[in-house]
This record gives sequence, structure tokens and C-alpha cells, in this order.
Amino acid sequence: MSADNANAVLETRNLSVRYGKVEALRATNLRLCAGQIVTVIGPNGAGKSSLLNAIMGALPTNGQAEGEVLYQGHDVSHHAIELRLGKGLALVPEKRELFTSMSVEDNLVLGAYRRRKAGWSYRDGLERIYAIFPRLKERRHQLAGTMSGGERQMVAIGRALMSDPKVLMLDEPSLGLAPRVMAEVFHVISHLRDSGVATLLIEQNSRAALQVSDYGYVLEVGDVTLEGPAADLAKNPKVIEAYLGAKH
Amino acid sequence: MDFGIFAVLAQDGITNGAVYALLAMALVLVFSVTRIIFLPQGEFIGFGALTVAALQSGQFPRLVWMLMAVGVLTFLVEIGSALRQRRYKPLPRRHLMWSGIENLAYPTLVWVLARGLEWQGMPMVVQILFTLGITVPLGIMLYRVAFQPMAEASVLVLLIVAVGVHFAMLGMGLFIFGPEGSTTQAFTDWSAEIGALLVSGQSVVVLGVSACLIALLYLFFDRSLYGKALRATAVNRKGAQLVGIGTTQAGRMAFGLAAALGTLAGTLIAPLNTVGYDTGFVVALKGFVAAIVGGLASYPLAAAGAVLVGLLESYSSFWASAYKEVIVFTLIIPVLAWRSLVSGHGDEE
Amino acid sequence: MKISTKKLQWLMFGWFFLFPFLPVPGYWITIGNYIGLYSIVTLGLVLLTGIGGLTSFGQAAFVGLGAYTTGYLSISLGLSPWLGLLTGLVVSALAAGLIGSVTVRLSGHFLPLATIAWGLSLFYLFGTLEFLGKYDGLSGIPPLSLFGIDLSAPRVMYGLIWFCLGGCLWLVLNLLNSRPGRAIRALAKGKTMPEAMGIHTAQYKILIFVLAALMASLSGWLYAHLQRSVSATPFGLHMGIEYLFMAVVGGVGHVWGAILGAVMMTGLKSQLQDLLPLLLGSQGNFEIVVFGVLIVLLLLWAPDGLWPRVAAVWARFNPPEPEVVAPAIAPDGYGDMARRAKPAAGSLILEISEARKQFGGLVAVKDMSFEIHAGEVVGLIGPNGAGKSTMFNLVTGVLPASSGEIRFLGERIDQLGARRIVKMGIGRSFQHVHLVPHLSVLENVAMGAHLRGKTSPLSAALRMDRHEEAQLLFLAAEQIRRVGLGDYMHTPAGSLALGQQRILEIARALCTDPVLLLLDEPAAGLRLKEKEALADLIRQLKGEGMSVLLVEHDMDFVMGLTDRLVVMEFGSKIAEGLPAEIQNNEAVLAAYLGGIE
Repeated sequence: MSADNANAVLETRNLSVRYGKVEALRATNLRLCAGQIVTVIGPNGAGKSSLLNAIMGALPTNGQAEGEVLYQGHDVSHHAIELRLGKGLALVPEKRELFTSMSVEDNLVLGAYRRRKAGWSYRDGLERIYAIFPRLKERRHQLAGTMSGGERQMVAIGRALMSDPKVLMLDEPSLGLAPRVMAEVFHVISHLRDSGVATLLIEQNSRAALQVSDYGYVLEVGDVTLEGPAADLAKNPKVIEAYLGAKH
Repeated sequence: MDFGIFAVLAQDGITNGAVYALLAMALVLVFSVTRIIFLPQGEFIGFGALTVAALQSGQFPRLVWMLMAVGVLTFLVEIGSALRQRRYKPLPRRHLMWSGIENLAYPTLVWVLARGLEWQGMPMVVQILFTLGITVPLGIMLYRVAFQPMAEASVLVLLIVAVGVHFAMLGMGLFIFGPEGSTTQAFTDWSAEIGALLVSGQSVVVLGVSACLIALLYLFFDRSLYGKALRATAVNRKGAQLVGIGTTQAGRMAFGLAAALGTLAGTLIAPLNTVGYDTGFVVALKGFVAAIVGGLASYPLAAAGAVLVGLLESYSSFWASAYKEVIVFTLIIPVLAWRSLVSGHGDEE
Repeated sequence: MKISTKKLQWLMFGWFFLFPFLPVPGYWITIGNYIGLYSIVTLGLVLLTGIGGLTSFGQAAFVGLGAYTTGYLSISLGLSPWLGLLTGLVVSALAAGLIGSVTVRLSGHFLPLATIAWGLSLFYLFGTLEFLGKYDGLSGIPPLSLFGIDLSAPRVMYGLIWFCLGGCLWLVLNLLNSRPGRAIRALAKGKTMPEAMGIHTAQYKILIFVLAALMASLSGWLYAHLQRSVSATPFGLHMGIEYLFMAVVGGVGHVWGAILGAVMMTGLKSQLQDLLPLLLGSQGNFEIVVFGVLIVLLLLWAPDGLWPRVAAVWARFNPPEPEVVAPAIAPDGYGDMARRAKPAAGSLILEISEARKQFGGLVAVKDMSFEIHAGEVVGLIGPNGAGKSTMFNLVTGVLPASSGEIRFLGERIDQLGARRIVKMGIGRSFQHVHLVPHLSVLENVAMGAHLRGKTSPLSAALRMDRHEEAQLLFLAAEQIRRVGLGDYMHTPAGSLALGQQRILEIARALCTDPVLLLLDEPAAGLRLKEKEALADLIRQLKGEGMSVLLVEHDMDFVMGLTDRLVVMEFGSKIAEGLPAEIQNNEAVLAAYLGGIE
């Protein structure tokens, strides 16, 4: 554990979220290291999306976050989204939030809106995304709104990767996708790990999520009730009963 | 009606429509990016035209005073909000320094230029550019002072604030410019006869400039990163925030552009019409009608609506001149009903 | 002595009537007259915009209709002003009905824009028509008199204006605390919830539109006979915007805010007009600058307007008591209220065969078939995005089916709207709770009793509905106790925990006297204790003979609760059976619980 401590890229300390009087997330502590995939599983409405939005600073206006979000050891919890993006956090939201009436390529280009530094070109950034998702290259002039569900998810992930994040957060990436497409998305996620990107994954498809992950947290109605290496969680009888089905 | 009159009316209608189109596009832009129905648009028409007129007649452009006053106010607001957030983060010195340059130093520079240079004999293009140098920052400052602190408020509250700003600017306009209107010099004396139609050079300039501006806007939105960012904000605010296009930055850009378009519209109509400090409101309303026809969302539809409004106004002033306003404003209701049906539902909160 | 807030409000209002008897300068009376006139219009706007959610910039045009009608009739035709009042009201109601039937159906920001349009066109019409004197208007309008008593003195007119305002206030407050009033309050929450309670949203929208126009017209009539002349200027868009100002400044959702807003705006403007020339030493329209700046500052400070702030201060000294209270014992005739006959246990009540829903190329529900029998609790489960919600919307009438049949108690419902379906006996809850947060639990639940009463808006406004109202409130209170929320009867619904809000929605659905109850993800976001309470409630309802269709994502929750499960994936039914069977079904495990191989 101490080795993990040393290179944690993202850590939350007592992170809580409330919407008016409704508490969506309570004092959550979570740690993510470079090159790790960490998954948070739990039922609908457990506060999983609130967790990601609070880390990104993208809560809706009636939402209030308390506690610390440490990125590479520095508290970023009062930074605007733009600053967190610039540091290396990126979020793929549950609803994708694409620019539907713009082309795929424009969507991707805008993903690098905060990344205009010397020695970097859109071409290279785009080529990298197209290498990961060859299908997007074929469709780069198509409007994002006319794409299928799986392709939209690819655009959303590609757009987030254009900002060259150190931490990629994915909110229910498999939502509404056919199994084959879903497998493809998870395949990409596990390959990103090899390039050093740390991934924080929220999934209700617990089995698939635990299969690709290194570590997992179980979130139930605002509280972390269980945590541990993903392989252990997948064997935990409580998890199996509640999220994986009684068989196994 | 013979063809000659028909053609003259068409020329008038299209010329006015071109100006309405500029205003309509500005309104669509501001609304889709910030959800603000930008009523103060009209003031930029009047203020812009009067400032060009003042430069041409060798008077001091008094709008500079307003720029300086609002600049000081903006700077104070910036300091105030920085102090209030001191609890969370250190004083953003760099940001405040930029704000000082933008809101204090720049207006002073404009004042020096306005005082120091002989503007009367300058080419009209230079005069217009100098005017834009006053109105565009003014638009951006207005956004900072009145709208940025409540960017998340409801459309209704934002509109009421816009009305408040409209009133305040109208009053200041009277203070600065006085109740008298002025006209500016003609762009050209050229005219040509094509068949029965006398084509006035003025119309050609207005049409040409409007067409160029629309083409420029098209290029801006289609090619430049900033233009794309503005479009992205209009399409999906949450998505835009997640890629780091701040609401604030987009709002500033939209207001700057809207101020520029309003000023240009004012300078286009000023040679033919006497423009007073309060003329802009009614002109902007016509642009507004055109924008509504486009559902406050689509630029091409808004431009088409603008030409339609211009033509309708021109022909109805021939047949039933007294009722032209009634006709123009009643026309929108069926159009709205149709637009509402086409755009489908969306009445859930 | 403790005075109820309600009495205090009226007492404060009463003070305004003493005003003309005081030795105040005539100028003050004039201001008071204008405040009264503006308050009447603003009151209509509060009803329309703040409570009903329809923003209008065009109210000034209706003021003009009232003023011009009486002006024309009394000058050109020499008719009595009282006939002018009547005609003005009729003309305004007809105009509002006509304009309203086209515009209130407009969605989103189209409606406010439309009101700008017709506000402007009516304004220009006033200024153009020959017989209305064009832009000069009409002058020489006779003063009002009643039974030979001359009412033209400003102080007398003051009394009349404030009497009219008081009357309008009384009617509006009565209306809002009634069956139609609850329907109006539900409008602001969009269309889906009120329609699911059987509320005809389009009709109620036109109703409040006409009511607001009537009040504006009354104000116009008073204005015409106070001024004795009319011209187009005070009925333009600027004035329409100023009325909206007053409403927003006072607090757009609050009836008393209308008066506060009118007082503030009118008082402020007249004070500025007096003061500024003294301060600046010159004449001009400068008050408008300060006025505009003050508005911006005020909204920055109090985005919800002034009234809520005032009420909050007052509530510190004198906590308000609930305004709407259910009778403690069943009112007369409560036992005779119509109740639906329960179908025999085990008989077929809902039959879905080959139901399909297509959105463009996307098939969200693909030929689904299943049945529900009386007294059964059936669970419809499946992963997110499987089409459960769409299926739910087909049964509740939010969406029409593309093909296939849905029959309820033998009748086809697949093409019927939500309003018709709730009338037949299907009650529902919402996945994202649809409540009016500042209203009490009782008032929210009573919205479900809409179809159980008949009170018309007119009899409600005249307070002739008290007997039926007592029955409806008692009915609602009974359902609240039935679901176990009795302790929270008068708590604002918005301050309940999510689990309680879900249960509140079930109570509201029970008020519709359903045969079948449809619950949309009722357990989502609930804590364990809350889930247990919910499960107990559903078991209790089943014990009482209720049939329930439960759309759920949470497997755990449905397992112990349901008689039968239907599993959906990608729009199709992949399994159906007893919970124990489903738990071991290979297809379900693979699809629902997922896995990548």
C-alpha cells in the first residue's frame, strides 16, 4: 500500500456532495495511481456520477462539493474545470454531451481547446485518436449527432483523450451499447492503461468493469461500503449476490 | 403596381433586411451562447452611429467617457469578486493586472487617441474601426458587470437584467448624446439605372458590407477554433464546459461580437436615416423578429427571416403604410406556431 | 395575542384604505392610484408567469384593450362606463382566448417571444386605427358615477381602484387554494406530471391566460376613467416589460409580491424623478439609469424577488401555520364519493401484445408482450438503456405505440394520452420525482385527487367549493396516512428525503383511485431502510388488492417483492417467470449482469 501512496495521481479526502438538502455522496476517500484502472460499482442513484462530477468540478449549479480533491498531491477542489483540464483530468460524461450538429473531427479538435502549447499540433493529436478508433477516421466529416451509440461513445472518449489527460474518468461507458461494441470500448480502456493513463471507471455492468480493473470500490447510497483489488471483489460473496447475480 | 415600383420596394426591403440580418445574427449568437435576450443591442446601433457622426463633424466622441466610466466599474467589480473569493484562493494578481489593462489603461488610451488625433478628415473606414474600438470593449464590460455574476439564472431573470441594462444605457445615451439625432456622410454618390430601376450606391454598399460580414461570420464559425468553441457552447453547454470552454469566455466573445455587429448596423443605416440615441430599439426589434423566425437558433433561417421582414415592411408600407408595423409584428405569430411544431416538444424543465 | 399570517396580510392590506383619509398631498394619492392599477395587472402576471410558468410581455396590450373599449364606447356611442367595463372584459377575454389558443401551446421560449410580437402588434394597431384617434388617442372620457354619485375625485377613485385590487386578490387566493388552483400550480412542472393526474394542461393554460387578461383589462378600464383620456403609449412593449419587472422584483411566484413589486417600482421611480434633478441640477431622463442599475443590483441580491425575503424575516418572529389543512373527521358525503370497482383477483387487467416503439431508425421497444393480472406485483427489469422506460411510457400514454396493442380492462389504450389513461384507472409515479417543492405534502398529494372532484374555477374563486374541497383534502390526507407519511402532512414536499418523496408520489397516485399502479424505478437512490419501507408499502398495497407494475433496475429489490418478473434487453423480452427462475436463467445472467468474453 505504501508504494501506492507514493504515486497516487488522484485522491479524494472526505469528498461529499449535496444537492440542497439531499446528500448524494458522503465523505468518500478514494485513490487512483498512474497506470491503474479503478472502478466504482453500485446501484443507480448511489452517487457515482456525483463523485466524478465533483472530481472534475462539473457539478450542476445546485450541487455543492465539500472535502478535498488531490491531484498529484495538490488540492484542486477550488479550481475551475478549465484548470483541472489543463492539469490532466478529463471526464467522459454519462450522456456523452457531444456537439451533435458539428462534425466528428470538430468534436475532437475542441477536445484540445485547452491544450494549445508549443510543439503540439492538432494533426498529431487527431492521428493518435484515429489510431485508437480507426472508425472515427472514416467518419470524421460526419455530424456527431448522426452516429450510432457505440460510435458516439468513441467520439466522447476521443474528445476527452485529445486533452492528453493523466486521469481519464468514464461515467457508465457501456450504457446502451450492444455487447460487441461494449467489449470494444473496454478493450480500448485496458489498452490506455499501457500508455500510462490512469482510469477511473464507473459502471453498473459490474462484471465487465471488475474484469478490466485493478482495484474496485462499491458505492451504495452515498457511502463506500466495500473496497479491494478487483479480483477479490469479484469473488466477494456480498458483491456477487448484489451485483453479479447469485450464481458463481 | 408596375414593375418599377415593385423593384424599388424590393430594393428597399432587401437593403433593410440585410441590416436586420446582422442584428438577427447577433441576437441568435448571444442567446444561443448565453441564454440572454440581448435587448441592449439597440443601443449599440444608436451609439455607434452617433459616435461616427461625432468623429465626422470634428466633435469629441463622448462615448469614450462612458467607456472609461464602465471600465472603472468593471475593474471595481473584478476586485470585489477577487476579494470575496480570498477565502478559497490567493488573490489572482495576474488576472487583476490584465483586468486593469483592459478596463483602465485601454480606455485611457482611447481617450488620448480621441483627443490627440484629428478625426474629421480621416477615411470613413478608420472612423468606423475607431468606433468599434470603443463599442466592442463596452459590450464585453457590460457582460462582466451585469451578466457574468448571474450566468446560471433563469432566462426570465436574465431578460429582466437585460431590460435593466437597456434602461440604464438608454438614460446614459440621452446624457451623453442629447436628444438630437444625426446623420453621417453618404458612403457614395454613385447610382445606376438598370432598366426602370434606379440602383442607389448606398443600397449596394449596405448589401455588399452585410454580405461580406455574413461571409466572415460564416468563416469564423466554420473554420476558427474560437468560432467553433462558440458554436459548441450553443449546442451543448455541459460538453463545452468539459472541454474547457468557459461560460465566461464564450459570453465575452458573444457580447463583443454582438456589440460589433450592432455598431456596424448603426453605421450602415446612419447615412440614410437620422439616428438618435434611442433609434436603435425599434430597429433591433425588427432584427429580433427575424431572429425569432429563426427560432433564436439558426443563422441561415434568421438571415432569411430578416430579408422577409425587410420585404414585408417595404411592401406593406406601400399598400397600407399605417399598418406596416402591425403587419410585421403579427406575421410572427403563425411563424412561431409553425416553428414550435417543427422544433417539437421540450417543455419539460 | 397571536395573529395568523393570513389575517395579518389582509390587515396590512387594509391599511392602504386609510391612506386617502390622511392629509397627504394629492400627488401621493396619484402615486397610490397608479400602484393600485399596476398591482392589478401584476397580480394577473404572477398567476400567469410565476405560478403557471407562462412568461408574458404582452399584458400592457390587454390593459389597452380594456381602456380603449370603454373610451370608444363612452365617447363615440355615449354608453355607460359600466357597460364599457363589461364589454372591455368580454373583448379581452375573447382576444386572450383566441391568442392564447394559438400561443400557449408554444413550447420553451417561443411563448414569451410570441407575447412580445402580439404586444407590439396590438400597440401599433391602437396607434393606427382611425376610430381610436390614432396616436393622439381618445380624450374626454366621462368620469365614473354610481347611482348618481360622482366618483371622479382622485381620493374616491383611489378607493375604487384598491377595492378592485382587493377583490382580485381575494378571488386569486381562493382560486389558488382549490382543485383548479392545484392544477394551475402543477403547470409550472411541465406537461407530463399534470397530465398523468388527469389535468388538461392546455385548457388550464388558456384559463390563466384569460384570467390575467381580464385583470389587465379591468386595470385599463379604471385607468381610462381616472385619466379621462387614453393614448397608445402606456400600452406598449415598454410597459409590458415593466409589469414583468414588478412581478419579478416583488417575487414572481408570490401573490402578495405583486403589490410589493408595484409599490417598489412605482415608488422608486417617482422618488428618483423627484430626487435626481435636485442632485444633478439638471432635467432629463436620468432616473432611468439609476432605475436600471438598481434592478440589476436587486436581482443580484435577491434573484427570487423581495417577497420571499420579507416573508423569511416575518417567519422568524411568527412561524407560519399551514394554510391548507384537511378536516379531522370525514366530511359529509365522503363515503358516497365514486370509487372504482376492483376487478376480481386473478382476472386479466393489462395485456400487452407485440407493442413496438420506434424513434426514427431506432427501435426502443421491439414487439414486447406480457400480461398483468389483478392483485399481482410484476417487475419489469433489465439493464440501463434496455427500453424499460419507453415501455413504461407506452403503458402510461406519454408516448403512443408505433404498432401492436396494449389493452387495459379489455380496452385499447396504446394510442390514448396520459389524461385518458389515468381516468381509466392506471396511476403512476416518476423516476425523477415531479413535485411542487414549496407546496406541502398534503397539497402535492391532493393534486392526484383532481379527477375525483368537479369544482370549476369560478366556484373555486367564489369559495363555493368548500364542501368538495374538504372531501378532496380528506381523501388526500387518508392516502398520506395510508402510506405512512402522516407526520409530514404540512411539510414542504421539497424538504423531504428522496425516499419519502417517492412514497409521496405513490400516495398521489393512489388518490387517482387506480386499479393498476405503475412505479418507475422507485428504489433508485434510496437507502437500505428507505428501500425496506418502500417494499413494505408495496406489500401492504398488494394485500389491499392493488396490482402493481414495477420497473426496476435493482435486482435485489424486486426479488423478494414480485410475483413475476419480465426481463428486457435491447427492447425485447428475453425472459419471463418467477423471480427464482429468473435468478438462474442463463440468458438473463449473461445479458443483464453482463460480462465480456
